[in-house]
Amino acid sequence: MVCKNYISLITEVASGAAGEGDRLHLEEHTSTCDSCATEYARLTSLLAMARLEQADPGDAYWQSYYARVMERIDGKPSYPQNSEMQPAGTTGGELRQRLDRLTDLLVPRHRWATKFVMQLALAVLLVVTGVLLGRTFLSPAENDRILAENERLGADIQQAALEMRAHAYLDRSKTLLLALVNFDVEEDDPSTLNFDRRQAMAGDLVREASFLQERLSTAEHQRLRRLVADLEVILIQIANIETAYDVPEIEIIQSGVNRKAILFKIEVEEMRRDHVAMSATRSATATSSV
Amino acid sequence: MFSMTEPVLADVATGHAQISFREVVETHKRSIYFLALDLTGNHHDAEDLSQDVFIKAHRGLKSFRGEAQMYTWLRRITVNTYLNKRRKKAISFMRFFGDEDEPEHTPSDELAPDRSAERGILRQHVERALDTLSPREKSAFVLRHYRDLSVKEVASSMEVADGTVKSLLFRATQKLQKELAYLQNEIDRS
Repeated sequence: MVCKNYISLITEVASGAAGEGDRLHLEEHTSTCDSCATEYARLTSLLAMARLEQADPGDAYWQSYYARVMERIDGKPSYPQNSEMQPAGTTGGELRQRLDRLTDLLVPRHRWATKFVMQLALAVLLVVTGVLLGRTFLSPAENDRILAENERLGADIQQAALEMRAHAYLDRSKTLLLALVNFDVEEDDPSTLNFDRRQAMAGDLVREASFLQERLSTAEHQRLRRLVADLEVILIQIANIETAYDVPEIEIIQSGVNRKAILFKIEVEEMRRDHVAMSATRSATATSSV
Repeated sequence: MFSMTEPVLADVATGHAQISFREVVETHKRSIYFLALDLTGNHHDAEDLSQDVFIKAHRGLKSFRGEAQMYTWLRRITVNTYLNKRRKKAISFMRFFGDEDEPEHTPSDELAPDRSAERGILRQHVERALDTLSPREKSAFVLRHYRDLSVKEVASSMEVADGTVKSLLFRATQKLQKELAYLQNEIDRS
């Protein structure tokens, strides 16, 4: 029978968490207590058993390792952080890509709101430049055609910018929700959540949700609009928690997120977006190879 | 020596020495891969994780000031990346279809064809027991017991307090004790 006072110390020392003093104390005790000594030996051998023997993948694997890392580094697009801003169409998509690159150069990527404004400004500048050039150099008929084309292009760009803004909203919401969903109410320390900051973020996102819902009005945006609305309910809940460390309230939010499968829906939306982007890239590649 | 025509030569000052990205990879690839293997438990994830670490290191080499040892820095990236991946995996839609922890076919099995059936079974039990640990418990346990790091070093790698590491180790040990106790009894009996 293990001595009651030493049960915890045996685990602590075997786990590697104990300091030198505790270890020596246990050593002293086990030198006179057989049952504790046996238990300690059992536990250390059990932990040793948990150490898996790992096989080496072999020389060929190591020789090409660096090359594989470089392949992954080189294989990525030059602006991978903005995969959510990949083209969603063909002509408009290419244009969007260029706009993305240009705005990436001008604006830090995480400041997505500034970036959105920047893109709109660039789009407007593009349209105005086209109009001015057309008026100066082209015949009235040609001028009208280009004006119509520019208008279509302008609408296309606005639509793309709106989608980008909606996806940036989903990304930020996902980050916020992940922190809450992964928070273990039994084990984690609520102070690690930085709840004040997250509440402020939720407030921002609620305002953004209203803006997006007003503008995501087309039929093809119906699903995105519904997701934004679902998220808004949860974000309002987060923004309205009164006590910073209100654990029961956090649990309610966690169950709300799970019940509505919000994160799953965001994943699906991201997959849809990536799929559209990939198709556009493929068709752009096919066009350029022709 | 590495040629100057290599695709990437992000030089970094580590004290007096200038080293290239290639040197960083070549020097640390094994230790980072095996740490990743200890954490993930299978070759494919270890390959992914270790490559992710070097890709992040590649991006951050210029900001690496050499205050920390290169390996310490890479180890911290490894643990952080592993924890982030697990966090993402936990919410990934794969979970909805219930195949998150499906056992994977690993080359390590192929590499040791003469491994006895008993050892294979024991390995399975141990892997299952290790899977009961949370990612943070597993990270602390692997760094302390497999890598022989001190509690302080584990804390620095995981960017948490010493006390947190101690409680993670304690919980991990209790869980493993519970999960593996029956195996120990079998061994004692035989």
